[in-house]
Amino acid sequence: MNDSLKLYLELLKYDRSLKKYGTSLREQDREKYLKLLNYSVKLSDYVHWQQKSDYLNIMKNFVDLKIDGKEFVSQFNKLHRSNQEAVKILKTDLKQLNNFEPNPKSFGFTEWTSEIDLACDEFYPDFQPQDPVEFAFARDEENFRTFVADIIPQIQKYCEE
Amino acid sequence: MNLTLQSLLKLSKILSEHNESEFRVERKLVEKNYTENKTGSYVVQLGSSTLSISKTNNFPCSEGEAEEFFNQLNELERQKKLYYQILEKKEPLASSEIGILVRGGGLGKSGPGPRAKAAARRNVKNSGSFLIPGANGFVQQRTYCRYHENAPLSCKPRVKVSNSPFQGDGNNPPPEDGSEFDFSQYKGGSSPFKNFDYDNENHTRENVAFSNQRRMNHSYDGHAEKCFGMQENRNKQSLQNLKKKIRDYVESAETERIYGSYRYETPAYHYKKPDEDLIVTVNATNNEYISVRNATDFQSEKLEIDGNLGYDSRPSMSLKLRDPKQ
Repeated sequence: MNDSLKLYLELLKYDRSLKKYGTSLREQDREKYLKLLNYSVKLSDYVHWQQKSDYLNIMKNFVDLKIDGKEFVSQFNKLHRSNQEAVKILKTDLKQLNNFEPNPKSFGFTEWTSEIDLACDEFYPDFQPQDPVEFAFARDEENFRTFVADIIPQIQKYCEE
Repeated sequence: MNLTLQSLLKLSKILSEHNESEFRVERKLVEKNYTENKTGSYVVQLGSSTLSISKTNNFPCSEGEAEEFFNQLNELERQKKLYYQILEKKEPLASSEIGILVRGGGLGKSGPGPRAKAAARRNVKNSGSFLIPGANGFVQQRTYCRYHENAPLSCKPRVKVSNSPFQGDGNNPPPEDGSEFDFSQYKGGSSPFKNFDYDNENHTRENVAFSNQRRMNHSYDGHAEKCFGMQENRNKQSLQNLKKKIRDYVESAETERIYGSYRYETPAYHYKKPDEDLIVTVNATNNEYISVRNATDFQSEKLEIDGNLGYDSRPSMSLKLRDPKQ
Protein backbone atom coordinates (compact mmCIF):
# COMPACT_ATOMS: atom_id res chain seq x y z
CA MET A 1 0.00 0.00 0.00
CA ASN A 2 1.48 3.36 -0.95
CA ASP A 3 1.65 6.36 1.37
CA SER A 4 -1.10 8.31 -0.39
CA LEU A 5 -3.53 5.45 -0.09
CA LYS A 6 -2.57 4.91 3.53
CA LEU A 7 -3.19 8.59 4.29
CA TYR A 8 -6.47 8.51 2.37
CA LEU A 9 -7.76 5.54 4.35
CA GLU A 10 -6.72 7.14 7.62
CA LEU A 11 -8.45 10.39 6.74
CA LEU A 12 -11.53 8.55 5.55
CA LYS A 13 -11.79 6.67 8.85
CA TYR A 14 -11.09 9.83 10.83
CA ASP A 15 -13.80 11.71 8.91
CA ARG A 16 -16.29 8.94 9.61
CA SER A 17 -15.46 8.91 13.30
CA LEU A 18 -15.85 12.71 13.49
CA LYS A 19 -19.24 12.46 11.86
CA LYS A 20 -20.42 10.25 14.67
CA TYR A 21 -19.85 13.23 16.96
CA GLY A 22 -21.71 15.63 14.70
CA THR A 23 -18.70 17.23 13.10
CA SER A 24 -16.49 16.47 10.11
CA LEU A 25 -12.96 16.65 8.81
CA ARG A 26 -14.01 19.58 6.65
CA GLU A 27 -14.94 21.56 9.77
CA GLN A 28 -11.97 20.41 11.82
CA ASP A 29 -9.08 20.52 9.36
CA ARG A 30 -9.62 21.97 5.91
CA GLU A 31 -6.13 21.13 4.68
CA LYS A 32 -6.59 17.46 5.45
CA TYR A 33 -10.06 17.53 4.02
CA LEU A 34 -8.66 18.84 0.72
CA LYS A 35 -6.17 15.95 0.72
CA LEU A 36 -9.05 13.55 1.21
CA LEU A 37 -10.94 15.16 -1.65
CA ASN A 38 -7.89 15.09 -3.86
CA TYR A 39 -7.40 11.39 -3.40
CA SER A 40 -11.10 10.81 -4.08
CA VAL A 41 -10.58 12.53 -7.41
CA LYS A 42 -7.70 10.16 -8.16
CA LEU A 43 -9.84 7.14 -7.41
CA SER A 44 -12.49 8.55 -9.64
CA ASP A 45 -9.91 9.25 -12.36
CA TYR A 46 -8.82 5.65 -12.33
CA VAL A 47 -12.31 4.16 -12.49
CA HIS A 48 -13.35 6.36 -15.42
CA TRP A 49 -9.96 5.99 -17.13
CA GLN A 50 -10.43 2.24 -17.36
CA GLN A 51 -13.23 2.98 -19.84
CA LYS A 52 -11.21 5.53 -21.79
CA SER A 53 -11.62 3.77 -25.12
CA ASP A 54 -15.38 3.71 -24.71
CA TYR A 55 -15.40 7.42 -23.97
CA LEU A 56 -13.24 8.11 -26.98
CA ASN A 57 -15.38 5.98 -29.31
CA ILE A 58 -18.59 7.70 -28.29
CA MET A 59 -16.99 11.10 -28.75
CA LYS A 60 -15.56 10.19 -32.15
CA ASN A 61 -18.91 8.84 -33.31
CA PHE A 62 -20.51 12.13 -32.42
CA VAL A 63 -17.84 14.28 -34.04
CA ASP A 64 -17.90 12.07 -37.15
CA LEU A 65 -21.67 12.61 -37.41
CA LYS A 66 -22.37 8.92 -36.88
CA ILE A 67 -24.69 9.78 -34.01
CA ASP A 68 -26.57 12.96 -33.22
CA GLY A 69 -26.39 15.07 -30.08
CA LYS A 70 -29.27 13.34 -28.33
CA GLU A 71 -27.78 9.92 -28.91
CA PHE A 72 -24.39 11.13 -27.76
CA VAL A 73 -25.84 12.50 -24.52
CA SER A 74 -27.69 9.24 -23.95
CA GLN A 75 -24.63 7.04 -24.55
CA PHE A 76 -22.27 9.31 -22.66
CA ASN A 77 -24.56 9.62 -19.64
CA LYS A 78 -25.01 5.87 -19.48
CA LEU A 79 -21.27 5.28 -19.41
CA HIS A 80 -20.51 8.19 -17.11
CA ARG A 81 -23.22 7.32 -14.61
CA SER A 82 -22.24 3.68 -14.41
CA ASN A 83 -18.68 4.75 -13.64
CA GLN A 84 -19.90 7.22 -11.07
CA GLU A 85 -21.82 4.44 -9.38
CA ALA A 86 -18.70 2.28 -9.41
CA VAL A 87 -16.74 5.09 -7.74
CA LYS A 88 -19.40 5.45 -5.05
CA ILE A 89 -19.34 1.76 -4.29
CA LEU A 90 -15.55 1.69 -4.23
CA LYS A 91 -15.35 4.58 -1.77
CA THR A 92 -17.56 2.80 0.73
CA ASP A 93 -15.75 -0.51 0.47
CA LEU A 94 -12.71 -0.24 2.72
CA LYS A 95 -11.73 -3.83 2.07
CA GLN A 96 -11.48 -3.24 -1.65
CA LEU A 97 -9.76 0.09 -1.10
CA ASN A 98 -7.01 -1.59 0.88
CA ASN A 99 -5.90 -3.43 -2.24
CA PHE A 100 -6.56 -0.61 -4.62
CA GLU A 101 -3.83 1.30 -6.33
CA PRO A 102 -4.82 3.78 -9.05
CA ASN A 103 -2.54 4.03 -12.04
CA PRO A 104 -0.88 7.49 -12.08
CA LYS A 105 -1.42 7.61 -15.86
CA SER A 106 -5.10 8.01 -15.14
CA PHE A 107 -4.74 11.17 -13.05
CA GLY A 108 -6.61 14.12 -14.45
CA PHE A 109 -8.91 12.04 -16.63
CA THR A 110 -12.17 13.10 -14.96
CA GLU A 111 -11.36 16.74 -15.54
CA TRP A 112 -12.40 16.10 -19.13
CA THR A 113 -15.27 13.69 -18.57
CA SER A 114 -16.71 16.09 -15.98
CA GLU A 115 -16.49 18.82 -18.54
CA ILE A 116 -18.39 16.85 -21.14
CA ASP A 117 -20.92 15.89 -18.50
CA LEU A 118 -21.50 19.57 -17.82
CA ALA A 119 -21.70 20.34 -21.54
CA CYS A 120 -24.30 17.57 -22.01
CA ASP A 121 -26.41 19.51 -19.58
CA GLU A 122 -25.94 22.66 -21.64
CA PHE A 123 -27.00 20.98 -24.86
CA TYR A 124 -30.49 21.91 -26.00
CA PRO A 125 -31.35 20.03 -29.21
CA ASP A 126 -33.95 22.67 -30.08
CA PHE A 127 -31.79 25.68 -29.30
CA GLN A 128 -32.10 28.44 -31.88
CA PRO A 129 -29.82 31.45 -32.42
CA GLN A 130 -32.84 33.73 -32.09
CA ASP A 131 -33.63 32.45 -28.62
CA PRO A 132 -33.72 35.22 -26.02
CA VAL A 133 -30.37 36.34 -24.67
CA GLU A 134 -31.37 35.61 -21.10
CA PHE A 135 -31.39 31.95 -22.06
CA ALA A 136 -27.77 31.65 -21.06
CA PHE A 137 -25.46 28.64 -21.09
CA ALA A 138 -27.14 26.75 -23.86
CA ARG A 139 -25.50 25.02 -26.80
CA ASP A 140 -26.93 23.98 -30.11
CA GLU A 141 -25.78 20.74 -31.72
CA GLU A 142 -22.99 22.26 -33.79
CA ASN A 143 -21.55 24.14 -30.86
CA PHE A 144 -21.79 21.03 -28.73
CA ARG A 145 -20.01 18.98 -31.39
CA THR A 146 -17.24 21.56 -31.64
CA PHE A 147 -16.86 21.45 -27.89
CA VAL A 148 -16.57 17.67 -27.83
CA ALA A 149 -14.12 17.75 -30.76
CA ASP A 150 -11.91 20.12 -28.77
CA ILE A 151 -11.73 17.61 -25.90
CA ILE A 152 -10.95 14.56 -28.06
CA PRO A 153 -7.18 15.25 -28.16
CA GLN A 154 -7.11 15.31 -24.36
CA ILE A 155 -8.80 11.90 -24.14
CA GLN A 156 -6.59 10.57 -26.92
CA LYS A 157 -3.50 11.39 -24.87
CA TYR A 158 -4.69 8.97 -22.20
CA CYS A 159 -5.40 6.29 -24.79
CA GLU A 160 -1.94 6.57 -26.33
CA GLU A 161 -0.07 6.12 -23.06
CA MET B 1 -10.92 58.06 -41.68
CA ASN B 2 -9.31 59.92 -38.82
CA LEU B 3 -7.99 57.85 -36.00
CA THR B 4 -9.81 58.37 -32.77
CA LEU B 5 -9.94 56.11 -29.79
CA GLN B 6 -13.72 56.29 -29.91
CA SER B 7 -13.91 55.08 -33.49
CA LEU B 8 -11.55 52.21 -32.73
CA LEU B 9 -13.49 51.19 -29.66
CA LYS B 10 -16.81 51.53 -31.45
CA LEU B 11 -15.72 49.34 -34.31
CA SER B 12 -14.25 46.78 -31.89
CA LYS B 13 -17.52 46.69 -30.07
CA ILE B 14 -19.58 46.20 -33.21
CA LEU B 15 -17.37 43.38 -34.34
CA SER B 16 -17.06 41.67 -30.99
CA GLU B 17 -20.81 41.70 -30.54
CA HIS B 18 -21.41 40.56 -34.06
CA ASN B 19 -24.72 38.97 -33.14
CA GLU B 20 -26.04 42.47 -32.76
CA SER B 21 -24.68 43.57 -36.09
CA GLU B 22 -25.97 42.73 -39.51
CA PHE B 23 -23.67 39.78 -39.92
CA ARG B 24 -23.25 36.56 -38.08
CA VAL B 25 -19.94 34.70 -38.21
CA GLU B 26 -19.64 31.03 -37.36
CA ARG B 27 -16.65 28.75 -37.35
CA LYS B 28 -17.30 25.52 -39.20
CA LEU B 29 -15.61 22.51 -37.78
CA VAL B 30 -17.60 19.51 -38.88
CA GLU B 31 -17.52 18.07 -42.35
CA LYS B 32 -20.09 19.70 -44.53
CA ASN B 33 -20.36 20.20 -48.21
CA TYR B 34 -20.23 23.94 -48.42
CA THR B 35 -20.95 23.98 -52.13
CA GLU B 36 -24.46 22.82 -51.37
CA ASN B 37 -24.99 25.50 -48.79
CA LYS B 38 -28.58 26.65 -49.11
CA THR B 39 -28.65 28.84 -46.05
CA GLY B 40 -27.47 31.93 -47.90
CA SER B 41 -24.26 32.08 -45.93
CA TYR B 42 -20.88 32.81 -47.45
CA VAL B 43 -17.88 30.64 -46.65
CA VAL B 44 -14.43 32.12 -46.25
CA GLN B 45 -11.09 30.51 -45.64
CA LEU B 46 -9.08 32.58 -43.16
CA GLY B 47 -5.74 30.96 -42.54
CA SER B 48 -6.58 27.64 -40.94
CA SER B 49 -10.12 28.65 -40.03
CA THR B 50 -13.19 28.21 -42.16
CA LEU B 51 -15.76 30.83 -41.41
CA SER B 52 -19.33 31.07 -42.53
CA ILE B 53 -20.74 34.57 -42.84
CA SER B 54 -24.47 34.95 -42.87
CA LYS B 55 -26.91 37.74 -42.23
CA THR B 56 -28.80 37.83 -38.98
CA ASN B 57 -32.07 38.59 -40.82
CA ASN B 58 -31.60 35.32 -42.76
CA PHE B 59 -31.40 37.12 -46.14
CA PRO B 60 -28.73 35.70 -48.45
CA CYS B 61 -25.28 37.10 -47.91
CA SER B 62 -23.64 38.05 -51.19
CA GLU B 63 -19.93 37.96 -51.94
CA GLY B 64 -19.90 41.75 -52.09
CA GLU B 65 -21.46 42.09 -48.68
CA ALA B 66 -19.08 39.56 -47.18
CA GLU B 67 -16.15 41.43 -48.70
CA GLU B 68 -17.46 44.69 -47.32
CA PHE B 69 -17.68 43.11 -43.89
CA PHE B 70 -14.08 42.02 -44.13
CA ASN B 71 -13.08 45.44 -45.35
CA GLN B 72 -14.37 46.66 -42.01
CA LEU B 73 -12.11 44.14 -40.34
CA ASN B 74 -9.14 45.29 -42.39
CA GLU B 75 -9.88 48.84 -41.38
CA LEU B 76 -9.95 47.75 -37.78
CA GLU B 77 -6.58 46.05 -38.21
CA ARG B 78 -5.18 49.23 -39.78
CA GLN B 79 -6.60 51.35 -36.96
CA LYS B 80 -5.07 49.03 -34.41
CA LYS B 81 -1.64 49.34 -36.00
CA LEU B 82 -1.94 53.12 -36.02
CA TYR B 83 -2.99 53.00 -32.42
CA TYR B 84 0.11 51.04 -31.47
CA GLN B 85 2.27 53.45 -33.44
CA ILE B 86 0.88 56.36 -31.51
CA LEU B 87 1.26 54.58 -28.19
CA GLU B 88 4.82 53.48 -28.78
CA LYS B 89 5.88 56.20 -31.23
CA LYS B 90 7.47 53.61 -33.44
CA GLU B 91 6.56 50.96 -35.96
CA PRO B 92 3.94 48.56 -34.64
CA LEU B 93 5.18 45.22 -33.42
CA ALA B 94 4.35 42.13 -35.35
CA SER B 95 1.87 39.92 -33.53
CA SER B 96 4.55 37.39 -32.64
CA GLU B 97 6.67 40.07 -31.05
CA ILE B 98 4.08 41.47 -28.74
CA GLY B 99 5.27 40.79 -25.22
CA ILE B 100 2.23 39.06 -23.92
CA LEU B 101 0.30 36.89 -26.27
CA VAL B 102 -3.18 35.84 -25.49
CA ARG B 103 -4.72 33.00 -27.31
CA GLY B 104 -7.72 30.80 -26.79
CA GLY B 105 -6.40 27.72 -25.05
CA GLY B 106 -7.84 24.33 -24.30
CA LEU B 107 -11.57 24.41 -24.70
CA GLY B 108 -11.59 28.05 -25.72
CA LYS B 109 -9.15 27.55 -28.54
CA SER B 110 -9.93 29.46 -31.65
CA GLY B 111 -8.46 27.17 -34.29
CA PRO B 112 -10.23 24.14 -35.67
CA GLY B 113 -9.04 20.59 -35.03
CA PRO B 114 -7.41 18.28 -37.55
CA ARG B 115 -10.73 17.05 -38.92
CA ALA B 116 -11.92 20.56 -39.60
CA LYS B 117 -8.64 21.45 -41.27
CA ALA B 118 -8.93 18.42 -43.49
CA ALA B 119 -12.54 19.24 -44.31
CA ALA B 120 -11.64 22.84 -45.07
CA ARG B 121 -8.86 21.73 -47.40
CA ARG B 122 -11.21 19.38 -49.21
CA ASN B 123 -13.97 21.91 -49.61
CA VAL B 124 -12.11 25.08 -50.22
CA LYS B 125 -11.83 24.72 -54.01
CA ASN B 126 -15.50 24.18 -54.59
CA SER B 127 -16.93 26.53 -52.08
CA GLY B 128 -16.33 29.86 -53.75
CA SER B 129 -14.10 30.76 -50.84
CA PHE B 130 -11.52 33.47 -51.06
CA LEU B 131 -8.57 34.52 -48.95
CA ILE B 132 -8.70 37.99 -47.55
CA PRO B 133 -5.28 39.51 -47.11
CA GLY B 134 -4.73 41.15 -43.79
CA ALA B 135 -7.71 39.52 -42.14
CA ASN B 136 -5.75 36.73 -40.56
CA GLY B 137 -6.11 38.24 -37.12
CA PHE B 138 -9.80 37.51 -37.10
CA VAL B 139 -10.69 34.24 -35.50
CA GLN B 140 -13.95 33.06 -34.11
CA GLN B 141 -14.29 32.35 -30.41
CA ARG B 142 -16.82 30.13 -28.69
CA THR B 143 -20.31 31.44 -29.18
CA TYR B 144 -22.43 29.20 -27.02
CA CYS B 145 -22.74 31.59 -24.17
CA ARG B 146 -25.02 34.43 -25.12
CA TYR B 147 -24.93 35.70 -21.60
CA HIS B 148 -22.23 38.23 -22.43
CA GLU B 149 -24.59 40.43 -24.33
CA ASN B 150 -26.04 41.47 -21.00
CA ALA B 151 -23.11 40.65 -18.81
CA PRO B 152 -22.30 43.39 -16.36
CA LEU B 153 -19.02 41.89 -15.20
CA SER B 154 -17.98 39.04 -17.36
CA CYS B 155 -17.25 40.36 -20.79
CA LYS B 156 -15.44 37.56 -22.51
CA PRO B 157 -15.40 38.44 -26.19
CA ARG B 158 -16.86 36.02 -28.65
CA VAL B 159 -14.80 37.44 -31.49
CA LYS B 160 -11.09 37.79 -31.12
CA VAL B 161 -9.90 40.64 -33.26
CA SER B 162 -6.19 40.49 -32.69
CA ASN B 163 -3.36 38.81 -30.87
CA SER B 164 -3.44 41.53 -28.32
CA PRO B 165 -4.38 41.11 -24.69
CA PHE B 166 -6.48 44.20 -25.03
CA GLN B 167 -9.49 43.14 -26.96
CA GLY B 168 -13.09 42.32 -26.45
CA ASP B 169 -15.83 44.82 -25.92
CA GLY B 170 -13.66 47.86 -26.34
CA ASN B 171 -13.88 48.84 -22.70
CA ASN B 172 -10.51 47.47 -21.73
CA PRO B 173 -7.84 49.59 -23.42
CA PRO B 174 -4.24 48.84 -22.55
CA PRO B 175 -2.83 50.41 -19.40
CA GLU B 176 -0.26 52.99 -20.37
CA ASP B 177 2.49 51.71 -18.11
CA GLY B 178 1.36 48.10 -18.07
CA SER B 179 1.15 48.13 -14.30
CA GLU B 180 -2.56 47.48 -13.91
CA PHE B 181 -2.91 44.38 -16.00
CA ASP B 182 -5.98 42.49 -14.85
CA PHE B 183 -5.02 38.82 -14.47
CA SER B 184 -8.50 37.86 -13.37
CA GLN B 185 -9.62 38.11 -16.99
CA TYR B 186 -7.32 35.25 -18.01
CA LYS B 187 -7.11 31.52 -17.43
CA GLY B 188 -5.47 30.67 -14.14
CA GLY B 189 -6.01 34.16 -12.75
CA SER B 190 -7.98 34.94 -9.65
CA SER B 191 -11.77 35.03 -9.69
CA PRO B 192 -13.09 37.89 -11.82
CA PHE B 193 -15.96 38.24 -9.37
CA LYS B 194 -14.06 39.09 -6.21
CA ASN B 195 -15.82 42.40 -5.93
CA PHE B 196 -19.23 41.13 -6.93
CA ASP B 197 -22.06 41.86 -4.52
CA TYR B 198 -23.07 38.33 -3.57
CA ASP B 199 -24.91 39.66 -0.53
CA ASN B 200 -27.56 41.39 -2.59
CA GLU B 201 -30.57 41.44 -0.28
CA ASN B 202 -32.92 40.56 -3.14
CA HIS B 203 -30.99 37.39 -3.97
CA THR B 204 -32.03 35.17 -1.12
CA ARG B 205 -32.53 31.41 -1.06
CA GLU B 206 -36.25 31.96 -0.79
CA ASN B 207 -36.63 33.93 -3.98
CA VAL B 208 -34.58 31.87 -6.41
CA ALA B 209 -36.37 32.31 -9.74
CA PHE B 210 -37.47 29.41 -11.93
CA SER B 211 -38.89 31.52 -14.73
CA ASN B 212 -37.37 29.71 -17.69
CA GLN B 213 -39.72 26.92 -18.65
CA ARG B 214 -37.35 25.31 -21.16
CA ARG B 215 -34.63 25.11 -18.58
CA MET B 216 -36.99 23.47 -16.13
CA ASN B 217 -38.11 20.96 -18.76
CA HIS B 218 -34.47 20.25 -19.56
CA SER B 219 -33.63 19.78 -15.88
CA TYR B 220 -36.54 17.43 -15.45
CA ASP B 221 -35.56 15.28 -18.42
CA GLY B 222 -31.90 15.15 -17.46
CA HIS B 223 -31.82 15.13 -13.68
CA ALA B 224 -35.17 14.58 -11.97
CA GLU B 225 -34.73 10.83 -11.74
CA LYS B 226 -31.03 10.83 -10.88
CA CYS B 227 -31.14 13.68 -8.38
CA PHE B 228 -34.55 13.19 -6.78
CA GLY B 229 -35.71 9.73 -7.84
CA MET B 230 -38.65 11.16 -9.80
CA GLN B 231 -39.77 8.60 -12.35
CA GLU B 232 -43.12 9.91 -13.58
CA ASN B 233 -43.45 11.49 -17.01
CA ARG B 234 -42.86 15.20 -17.31
CA ASN B 235 -46.06 17.19 -16.91
CA LYS B 236 -47.22 20.32 -15.16
CA GLN B 237 -47.58 18.56 -11.82
CA SER B 238 -44.25 16.74 -11.96
CA LEU B 239 -42.51 19.97 -12.93
CA GLN B 240 -44.05 21.65 -9.91
CA ASN B 241 -42.80 18.79 -7.77
CA LEU B 242 -39.29 19.16 -9.15
CA LYS B 243 -39.34 22.88 -8.47
CA LYS B 244 -40.49 22.21 -4.91
CA LYS B 245 -37.75 19.63 -4.33
CA ILE B 246 -35.08 22.00 -5.62
CA ARG B 247 -36.48 24.82 -3.52
CA ASP B 248 -36.57 22.61 -0.40
CA TYR B 249 -32.96 21.61 -0.98
CA VAL B 250 -31.87 25.22 -1.44
CA GLU B 251 -33.73 26.41 1.63
CA SER B 252 -32.66 23.54 3.88
CA ALA B 253 -30.72 24.65 6.95
CA GLU B 254 -28.01 22.09 6.19
CA THR B 255 -27.46 23.43 2.69
CA GLU B 256 -24.50 25.74 2.29
CA ARG B 257 -24.47 28.63 -0.10
CA ILE B 258 -21.15 28.86 -1.92
CA TYR B 259 -20.24 32.17 -3.51
CA GLY B 260 -18.57 31.21 -6.74
CA SER B 261 -18.95 31.22 -10.47
CA TYR B 262 -20.10 29.19 -13.41
CA ARG B 263 -17.28 28.59 -15.90
CA TYR B 264 -15.78 31.85 -14.56
CA GLU B 265 -18.28 33.50 -16.85
CA THR B 266 -20.95 34.53 -14.43
CA PRO B 267 -21.01 34.85 -10.67
CA ALA B 268 -23.08 32.06 -9.18
CA TYR B 269 -24.46 30.68 -5.96
CA HIS B 270 -23.90 26.97 -5.54
CA TYR B 271 -26.19 25.30 -3.02
CA LYS B 272 -24.73 22.10 -1.62
CA LYS B 273 -25.03 19.96 1.48
CA PRO B 274 -21.58 19.10 2.81
CA ASP B 275 -21.88 15.33 2.52
CA GLU B 276 -23.90 15.17 -0.67
CA ASP B 277 -22.93 15.52 -4.28
CA LEU B 278 -26.18 17.23 -5.24
CA ILE B 279 -25.59 20.81 -6.27
CA VAL B 280 -28.02 23.53 -7.35
CA THR B 281 -26.47 26.40 -9.30
CA VAL B 282 -28.10 29.82 -9.47
CA ASN B 283 -27.00 32.82 -11.50
CA ALA B 284 -25.96 35.43 -8.95
CA THR B 285 -26.63 38.35 -11.29
CA ASN B 286 -30.38 37.73 -11.37
CA ASN B 287 -30.94 34.86 -8.91
CA GLU B 288 -32.21 32.72 -11.78
CA TYR B 289 -31.88 28.95 -11.49
CA ILE B 290 -29.25 27.46 -13.84
CA SER B 291 -29.03 23.75 -13.06
CA VAL B 292 -29.22 20.88 -10.64
CA ARG B 293 -26.74 18.03 -10.88
CA ASN B 294 -24.79 15.36 -9.12
CA ALA B 295 -21.30 16.81 -9.01
CA THR B 296 -18.36 14.57 -9.84
CA ASP B 297 -15.44 14.36 -7.40
CA PHE B 298 -13.48 16.68 -9.66
CA GLN B 299 -16.27 19.25 -9.63
CA SER B 300 -16.69 18.94 -5.86
CA GLU B 301 -12.99 19.53 -5.32
CA LYS B 302 -13.00 22.59 -7.57
CA LEU B 303 -16.04 23.97 -5.80
CA GLU B 304 -14.32 23.50 -2.47
CA ILE B 305 -11.14 25.20 -3.66
CA ASP B 306 -12.38 28.17 -5.64
CA GLY B 307 -16.17 27.93 -5.90
CA ASN B 308 -16.16 27.55 -9.66
CA LEU B 309 -18.12 24.95 -11.57
CA GLY B 310 -16.88 24.05 -15.02
CA TYR B 311 -13.80 24.56 -17.10
CA ASP B 312 -11.92 27.82 -16.89
CA SER B 313 -12.96 29.18 -20.26
CA ARG B 314 -11.13 32.46 -19.93
CA PRO B 315 -8.52 33.12 -22.62
CA SER B 316 -5.05 31.74 -21.97
CA MET B 317 -2.15 33.96 -21.22
CA SER B 318 1.46 33.23 -21.98
CA LEU B 319 4.54 35.32 -21.54
CA LYS B 320 6.91 35.57 -24.45
CA LEU B 321 10.26 37.19 -23.95
CA ARG B 322 11.66 39.26 -26.75
CA ASP B 323 15.22 39.03 -27.92
CA PRO B 324 16.91 42.07 -26.27
CA LYS B 325 18.88 42.68 -29.49
CA GLN B 326 15.69 43.37 -31.43
